[in-house]
Amino acid sequence: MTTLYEKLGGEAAVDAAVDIFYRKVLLDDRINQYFDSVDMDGQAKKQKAFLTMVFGGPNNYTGKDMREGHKHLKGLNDTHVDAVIENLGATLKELGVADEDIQQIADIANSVRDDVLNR
Amino acid sequence: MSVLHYDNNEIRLRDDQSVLDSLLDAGHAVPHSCKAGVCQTCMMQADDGPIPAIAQAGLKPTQVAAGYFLACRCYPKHTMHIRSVDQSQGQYTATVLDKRWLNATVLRLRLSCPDMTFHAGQYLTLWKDAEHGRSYSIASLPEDPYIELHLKIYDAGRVSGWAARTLETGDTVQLQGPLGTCFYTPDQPRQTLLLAGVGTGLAPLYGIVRDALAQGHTGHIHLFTASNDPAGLYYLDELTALADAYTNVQITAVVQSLIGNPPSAINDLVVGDLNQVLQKHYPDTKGCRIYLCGSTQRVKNLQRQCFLGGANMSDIYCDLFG
Repeated sequence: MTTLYEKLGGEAAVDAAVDIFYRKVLLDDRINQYFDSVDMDGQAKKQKAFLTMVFGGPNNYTGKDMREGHKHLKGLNDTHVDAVIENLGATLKELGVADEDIQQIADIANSVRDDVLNR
Repeated sequence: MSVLHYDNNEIRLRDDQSVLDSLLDAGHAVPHSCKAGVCQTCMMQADDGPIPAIAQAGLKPTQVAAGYFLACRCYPKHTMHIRSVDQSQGQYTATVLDKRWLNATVLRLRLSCPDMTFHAGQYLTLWKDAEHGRSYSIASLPEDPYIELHLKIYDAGRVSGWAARTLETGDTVQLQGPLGTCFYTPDQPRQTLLLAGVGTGLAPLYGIVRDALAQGHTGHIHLFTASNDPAGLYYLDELTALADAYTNVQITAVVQSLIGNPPSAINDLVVGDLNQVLQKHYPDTKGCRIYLCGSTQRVKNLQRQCFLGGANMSDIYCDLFG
């Protein structure tokens, strides 16, 4: 039985998505203040880890990690999480991922919403 | 059963245990996080031993060439000698072969140091004494009979001032290195290479261009060398000679202003800001490999610009001068 991650194409799929997703968030004025960093290589690695997770891939993030990781971001709220998921969906559509898989990925992203927003 | 040599220790590996877990079990504090080959925190370097391909997946070609690998994904079948990445520098004694001013503020040093292995574009530390050293990028190739550095000289500079006023041909100096992953690898010989540097940022880029040509790169190579004014440029004859000798090489010199300086020797001299000039020439950077060298601020802006232009993050190499 193939997992979602395997079905999407595993690590190669994540690599293809990272640059596209990262460009989109950098150009999105609703959220780019959270992603515009001097350390772009470090940011890209975080994107890769995030995408691996929402693709259903291997990761060791706990809810606590997600809270700790986002606590310092001032003013973070639902509109920002919505924007990230929107850009994620647009990236996946560009890569030709099927709608039902996009929905599954969005659901995984949504499942950590409360941790990300620390509530 | 494989054996791991690390930090003067010998560690036996079980077949089902990664290098990372083996080191952690043996009590070594190796930085790590995701244990899934994604975050790259557990990056280490192998001195020898074949590195399993999966342990190098996701690394830049330059990192692969330097023997870097991810410890959490490495299940070796053979003995390996490994080290932490920041320990991987040697100490060498070099002899000064030649000192020559390339313009009013840039001094070229050629040093004899046959023991150091390196790639053009990596950097080393030049030590004035036990406490004071400065990093300089390597402008020469391993096959050249010298290591070449371009030093921006500051009158009050502790190391650069010493190099300009005190250091003489025949003197020995201490070198430490090499470090850095900003160098050429021959995996994409037809890829367009864009190189942009300010001032002595030309040093590693000059080496990288010559290295690419020596390794048979056939793709278009476009080097942008920038300065505030023409007096800050150098090596224009050498760069013109490269462009004349190789049809795939193009050189553009960029200056902020021409005020107070006579026109320079180079054919393609543009007045403007380097970032804007690069943007105008290459608004679409998709598929390009890019090498950037200069101040942190400048390089980070160029990196962002080139990435948004379509280049892969993994194809952009940055050498930061601080």
